[in-house]
Amino acid sequence: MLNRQSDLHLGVVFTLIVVVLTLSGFLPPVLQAILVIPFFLFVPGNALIWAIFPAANLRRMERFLFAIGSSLGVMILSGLVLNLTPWGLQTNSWLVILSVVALVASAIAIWRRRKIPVEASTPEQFYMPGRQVSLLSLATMVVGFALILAFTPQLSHKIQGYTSLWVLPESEMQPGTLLVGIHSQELETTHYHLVITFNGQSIQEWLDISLPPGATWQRSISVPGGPGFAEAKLYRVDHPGVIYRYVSITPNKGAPSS
Amino acid sequence: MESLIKVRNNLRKASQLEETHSSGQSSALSAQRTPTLGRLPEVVLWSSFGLLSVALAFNTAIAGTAWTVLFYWLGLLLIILPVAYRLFSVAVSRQERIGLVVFLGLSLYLVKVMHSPYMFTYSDELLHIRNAVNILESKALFGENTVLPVSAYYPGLETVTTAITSLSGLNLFTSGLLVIGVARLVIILSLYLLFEQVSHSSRVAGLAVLIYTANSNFLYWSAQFSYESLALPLGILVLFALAKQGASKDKQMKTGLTLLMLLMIPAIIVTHHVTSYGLVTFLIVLSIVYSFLQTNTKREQPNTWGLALAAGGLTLTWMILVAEPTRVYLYQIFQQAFASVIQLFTGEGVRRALFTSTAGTIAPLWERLVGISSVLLIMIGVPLGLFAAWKRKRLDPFAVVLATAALLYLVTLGFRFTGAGWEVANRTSEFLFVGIAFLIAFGFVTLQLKYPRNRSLSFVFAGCTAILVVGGVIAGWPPALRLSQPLVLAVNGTTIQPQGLEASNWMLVNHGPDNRIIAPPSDALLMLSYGRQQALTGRIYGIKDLLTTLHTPEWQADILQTVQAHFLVMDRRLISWDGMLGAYFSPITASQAVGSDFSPDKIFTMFDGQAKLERIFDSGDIVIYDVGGLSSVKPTK
Repeated sequence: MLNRQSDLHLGVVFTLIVVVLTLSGFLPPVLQAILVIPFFLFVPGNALIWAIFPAANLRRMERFLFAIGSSLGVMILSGLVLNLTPWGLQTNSWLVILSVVALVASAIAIWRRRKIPVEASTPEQFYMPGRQVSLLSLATMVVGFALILAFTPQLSHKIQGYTSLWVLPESEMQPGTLLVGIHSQELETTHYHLVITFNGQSIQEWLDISLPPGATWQRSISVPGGPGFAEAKLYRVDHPGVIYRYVSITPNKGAPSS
Repeated sequence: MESLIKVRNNLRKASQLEETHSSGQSSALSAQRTPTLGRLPEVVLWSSFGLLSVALAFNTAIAGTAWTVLFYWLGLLLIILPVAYRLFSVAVSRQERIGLVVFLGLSLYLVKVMHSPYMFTYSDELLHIRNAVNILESKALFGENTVLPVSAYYPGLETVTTAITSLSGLNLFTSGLLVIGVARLVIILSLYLLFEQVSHSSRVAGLAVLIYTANSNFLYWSAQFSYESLALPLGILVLFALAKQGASKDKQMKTGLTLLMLLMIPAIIVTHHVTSYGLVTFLIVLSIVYSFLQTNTKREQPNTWGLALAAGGLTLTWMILVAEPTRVYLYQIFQQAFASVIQLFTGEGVRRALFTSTAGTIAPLWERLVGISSVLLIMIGVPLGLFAAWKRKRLDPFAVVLATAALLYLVTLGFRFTGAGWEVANRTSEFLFVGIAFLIAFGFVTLQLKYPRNRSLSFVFAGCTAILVVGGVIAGWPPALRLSQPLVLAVNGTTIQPQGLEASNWMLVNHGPDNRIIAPPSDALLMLSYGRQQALTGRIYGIKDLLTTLHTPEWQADILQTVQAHFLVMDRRLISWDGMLGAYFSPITASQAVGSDFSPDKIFTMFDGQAKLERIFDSGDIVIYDVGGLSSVKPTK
């Protein structure tokens, strides 16, 4: 049989379980989230509110609201405290500070409640007929369907796709090498023609690079030594005379001029 | 006098009726058990179809048809009307009323979630997500935010969000949605309990929360991942605790509530500047009203002056010691607003055209009619509520302060006729509307108690509430943003994202974080948040001039060296100067086809071919230049 301190005892046990499981890293992320969220948003505040108001003189809804509100308040102020410590705001420090708040507040609440005489109370009875359960289940399904619909990516009507072209010096260790990339975000498979020039002279060319939507193409290109100006011109095969994308870079910046 | 007695008697009967339906406790004893939640499940089912209708509108928004818009408004009405009709009914239990307002608040929050379901995209959200990323990376508060430096000095929201992310393993987006969802629950329950405490009626409380959802910022603005969305609910919670303390005779309860408020007030102060100033102002006004009324009522005054002093002192201390730039930031906003209103009165200023977007598009006739009707309904409802409150609540300090807030709201409506004033009027609406909601609900319940048998009043007032809510959405959110904007699009089994996101991801992957980068606002916000760059935008340092007008290379070099920029983003879409709309794909329009949506080519390409500048990224509309050669800035990676 549950005694009147059961909720606080449960909170203490729950806090210890969260601490152990989080430190051990045993739980998969989804279960970890399900376990941790009520710990953060309710347990410290609930313990604190019972410590402040040990008598059952708050309405259930008021107690619930104060518990959530004070949990948020505790987290915000704990963040300020952690910011002053050498450990800062990280998983373990959060775990320690919130557990300490929850455990100390629970201990105070249990101690203070022991001194208050037990009052006879009529437990509230909750009654929901089967028809209403069915209606709520149906409503949950409709809301679920609405969320799935909202999270489904829109179709690409009236939208123009695009392609990105970029150029980078591959690394400082290889000054004569460039990295050129293409990323297609077009609405269909697109064929490209890429020309790389150095000081106006073509040094490399790809006549037909075919990329489906979402695909990336990337190549390392060696450029001649000495100062100069490298350009990459991208054409669409279906519009050969029009430069579709254009980038440029000055490789060999440290090289002496001839 | 007779009518007052009649109203009081009806009020007593109504309270008894509410009590009879109040809980399963009494129903359990009766032969035929009354469901604890009353007709809440039926209402929830009806309203869930409203959510489905809104989801359908959002999913097909890109088509931009009249049907899409119709589904949107129909969906909102389906969410609101069943709840409103039920709340207006007399024979509804307290539990059901609480269930109804909580469902309404969370349903309207889901509308915002469905509006932007993949990532935070509103301009303020992008600012705060950067602050959260800073905390996660540095494990410390107060990291640098180059677009809105002030936001970093109020890290309450980001602290809670990153704490959940750290321990749960959820990403920042999910944690943020969760925190704001909890904040929404807190504001709804706090408002309900506050109104109930002041009015002593669960009916007034339910209706007042319903009317509060009609404030122009409730649907989207107050549901975004931004500091005010968390601070305001905590602020309302403090007001409820204060109201409860004022009404309580239990000394332990009073002490407990003081302790609770002393925990919450510092949390509010470190979360949002304007909310903390609003709270201090409320406490001061309440203290004055208490002192004034005390001569008539001889009641014991709670220590509101002490709380006001504590809250004011802490707010001031925070501003001086930690958040010093806030003073200049807020001064500029309010100074511009007041100056523009004064200029309007003196005839020097330009009057802002109502229902006209910044691009000059005029809202449809029905929207204008509903918008004006909603303001008229408020103007009718406030005197009605004032009259009722004067009769029954004029010695209640909370009722007096709420009525004052309502009158102040009417004053701020005048601010909406100027550009700078509109911003202030719109932003203060979620604070002052608490008073409007209370007065209108109180006035209505008094009126209905005068005509208890007139059932058509419930229909009429449910309809009026629908006009208020729709009018609020029209007044508070630009038409182009009401429907979900295209962000992640399905293409042949994969998805594509807008160029701004592509560019910011590319910057982070290839150049690392924290490069100083100049960009138009929408690109700068994406670079700041998802690209994790130190983005700079707007008129400061002449950045807007640099990106939109032709100048000599020397002048350009001078600006780049002043801001120590390493990269520069050119975006040929004019919409990139809109921090809210520029992040999305722009659907192909007739104006786009003729080029009027784009900068002239000579501006867009003005940096091409310049010595020491490298054109390193080109996605068509967006081009990134490495300007480190001109500004002499080294890369961070």
